[in-house]
Amino acid sequence: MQTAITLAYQKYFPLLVRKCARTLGDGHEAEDVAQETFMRFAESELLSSDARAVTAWLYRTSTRIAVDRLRARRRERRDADEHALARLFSNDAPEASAELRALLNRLLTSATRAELEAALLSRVDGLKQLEVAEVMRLNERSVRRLLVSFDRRLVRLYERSDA
Amino acid sequence: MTDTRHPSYLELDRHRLGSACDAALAQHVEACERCRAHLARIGPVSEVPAWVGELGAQAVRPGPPRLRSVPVALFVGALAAAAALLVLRQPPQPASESAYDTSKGAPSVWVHVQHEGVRSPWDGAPLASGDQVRLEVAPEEFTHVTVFSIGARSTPPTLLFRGALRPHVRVALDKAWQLDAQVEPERLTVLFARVELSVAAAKLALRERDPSLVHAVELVLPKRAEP
Repeated sequence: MQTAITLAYQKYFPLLVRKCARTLGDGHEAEDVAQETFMRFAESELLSSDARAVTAWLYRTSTRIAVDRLRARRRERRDADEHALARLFSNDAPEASAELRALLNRLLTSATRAELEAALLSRVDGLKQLEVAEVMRLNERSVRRLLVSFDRRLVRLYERSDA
Repeated sequence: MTDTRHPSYLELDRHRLGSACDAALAQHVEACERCRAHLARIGPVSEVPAWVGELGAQAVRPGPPRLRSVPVALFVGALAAAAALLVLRQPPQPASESAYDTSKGAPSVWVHVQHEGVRSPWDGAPLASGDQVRLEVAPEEFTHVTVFSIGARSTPPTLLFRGALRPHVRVALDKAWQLDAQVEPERLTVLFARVELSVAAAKLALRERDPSLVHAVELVLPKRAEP
């Protein structure tokens, strides 16, 4: 078992840290969330599961923990960055950035947890809707609904900052 | 909306792990500097930290549960009266975050979920119709357990399970329940007693909740709204 956990650590932890860093930025908090996620993983029954199932679980659980952390943090509001807004709405490959994270932080109190999770997976990790559905264990229609709802909140945020 | 020319990070991670058998993806990675850079950033582990070794040690040592439940507990709740009773063949593994804390010496309850054939400790997320739920209990000094499904106020509680336990022996109940399609959260009450209770006595104890006789753990399992 020790070997299995060590092997799993070597296999999954590096990508888990990168995933958390995309959401939370490089630093101790990303490491911390990655560690918490991995500890839960070690206690789960997934150690011997295939990588596809494990990655879905790691993405889901780490996103969930990250949302909790972000909400707890509730950084002070900043003015909207129109560039970041435009990128969030775009179909371009989403690369995580401090602006995107800052913008998401502004929606922490108004967006639902599921909307935040879907938005992080879609806009920060670049998952397609089908992949978000797989990770969140929802159907595509539900994911689409969450993202539309999230986008509406963004529009309202944009309008407020534009006024 | 999220259909990008680049694969998602999830796809790239799976590609790195060798679980994405997609020739087009491999070709893309071969040709794409950005995707290659992402993969290059995920370097190999140089050293396994001590806490990972401790996880392994915990896994092979069947010690006391790390998390325990609260007396008249917390959140998760229960299974609909209409839920089908099932038997899971494999016992769940030691619980993780799906358990709740409790005061020392009080019984504990853990929730395990089987979703689309994959069993895992419940992580607090809303459950789906068709998911199977199984409870694991650590009864401390109590010798009997009764599980009720708590419906709407006007409906009486439904007995889901009743059985004897060995004191201080952690055990998975030998029944599991499949969630129905109702949107309302499932509410369960797990009642620990020191003597065997008839159904009527258990229902009375459920209502009275005399702490000198029984210990109740309440669970609320939120359910995902189906489209």
